[in-house]
Amino acid sequence: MIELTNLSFAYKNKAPLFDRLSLKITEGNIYGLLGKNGAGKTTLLKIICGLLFPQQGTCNVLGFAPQKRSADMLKEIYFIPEEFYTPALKINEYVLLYAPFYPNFDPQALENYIATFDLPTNEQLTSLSYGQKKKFLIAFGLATNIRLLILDEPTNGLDIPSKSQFRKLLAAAMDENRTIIISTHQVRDIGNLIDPIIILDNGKIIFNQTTESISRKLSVKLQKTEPDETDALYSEKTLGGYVVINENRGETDSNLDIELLFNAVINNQQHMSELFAREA
Amino acid sequence: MKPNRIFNFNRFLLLLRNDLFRNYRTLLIGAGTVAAIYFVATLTPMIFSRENIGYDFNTGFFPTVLYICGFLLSAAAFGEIHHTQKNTAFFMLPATTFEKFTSRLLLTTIGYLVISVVFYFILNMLSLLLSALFINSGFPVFNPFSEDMLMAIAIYLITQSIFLFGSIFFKNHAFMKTGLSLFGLSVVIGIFASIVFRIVYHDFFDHMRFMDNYMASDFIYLENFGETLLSIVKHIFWFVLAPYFWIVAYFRLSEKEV
Repeated sequence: MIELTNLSFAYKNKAPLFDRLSLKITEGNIYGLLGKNGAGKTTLLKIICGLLFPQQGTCNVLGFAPQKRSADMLKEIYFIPEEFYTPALKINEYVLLYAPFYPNFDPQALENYIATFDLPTNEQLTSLSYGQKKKFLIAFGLATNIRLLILDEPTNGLDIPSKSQFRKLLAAAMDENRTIIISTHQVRDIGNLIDPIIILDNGKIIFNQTTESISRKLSVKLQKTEPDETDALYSEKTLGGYVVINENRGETDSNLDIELLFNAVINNQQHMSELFAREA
Repeated sequence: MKPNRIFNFNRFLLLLRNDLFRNYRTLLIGAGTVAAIYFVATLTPMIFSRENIGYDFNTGFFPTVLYICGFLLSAAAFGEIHHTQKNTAFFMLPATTFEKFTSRLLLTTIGYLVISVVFYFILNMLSLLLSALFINSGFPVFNPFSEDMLMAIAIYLITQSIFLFGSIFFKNHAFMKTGLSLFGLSVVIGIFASIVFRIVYHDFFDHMRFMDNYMASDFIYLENFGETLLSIVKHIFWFVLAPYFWIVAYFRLSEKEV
């Protein structure tokens, strides 16, 4: 579905952000794209959407070169950036003007999503709160029935019930032909949703694993004493002891907290990549 | 039949509808402003001096309004591509760059001209009516098909291409920057042409003063050269300028990143 090969990119007058980056994204998954601030997550999403052009290498999205911004590609992609624009239109006016560009748009589904998010339909989009605007765009994006939905920090600005509704809607909207990429720092909001998990650091993909592989390879435990540094892959002091990530040597799968995993990968890149490379 | 991947007429119509619907309030405000200025200009003489405006009023007022509003509109046509949030919405809309470009081009040329002419004609008819009612006098009738008006329209169609290009090229204040660039370019071309003229025809000059004691044959030679040059410039203006700026603007839009 998406294939980046030896892709290089640099902003004008800045050091290269991506240098020969390669990544393959397949259909039917909700990818979680994680990384520190400035790691290049949003830039990567914009390259995939054809909003930024790579200087070297190739990017193939649904069989198209995104920088050509083909209408056939764009009608299969919906991108909700962190900071977005909504025109001064009511919801029904927005739908009237924009839905015809998406051949598989489902008005009934949109109605359901709007009802689920409890959005007011008779107000101008510009008068809605940030969270309401975002919920509308998520609802519209899901109703377009496109093949690739890209969300940059989708849960920012959503209230607590909306985060739960968002997870349910996203899970319900998934099928084998659709791919969703979620870039976020709010990993707890989407913890059980994303699979595989991609971690980007300093312009490089340092981790790209399914949750099944993660839980098979890593174990997490809570212990009272400080762990031995040579044994533990990562540990964090917590209330009443230490939470420790170790290589999973037992037969049982463990359910790993994504925030902990992220910190482990960022702080112990070499060991983690060696551990996951062993299986490959 | 294989669908056209560059231009789809249905998508093009959707884009036109989209642009018109989203911008009609701005257009109405602009139209209201023009109407207010027009009525102030035409009714003031009627009310205060019981006289009518001159019969050449429309030949001056209409082109002025046409150029100013048209250049402002053209310079703002692609303003959203420089806006950090609007540009994503613009480029992600499922239509080709060619469709997006041609829809704005059509709106700022033919669309704008048709609306302007019809709107000005209505204003003119209203003034005609008021003039007949209040001072029982005739009023200069606006004829969009007169030679002067057709020439004004043709010049607009050519020159707007520069402002349309400016709207893609300049990040902010495209109208002002395009106008200033044109002025700067004119000054540079003027100075360059004068220097070239001074060097090539040094025999006709006494220092920087053009001599008036030239021979008749020299004068004819100069006049012929001037006419040839003018003809070339006219041809460039009428046939090259607009397509050049439209094509460059299209490619610039295609290569624009957010």
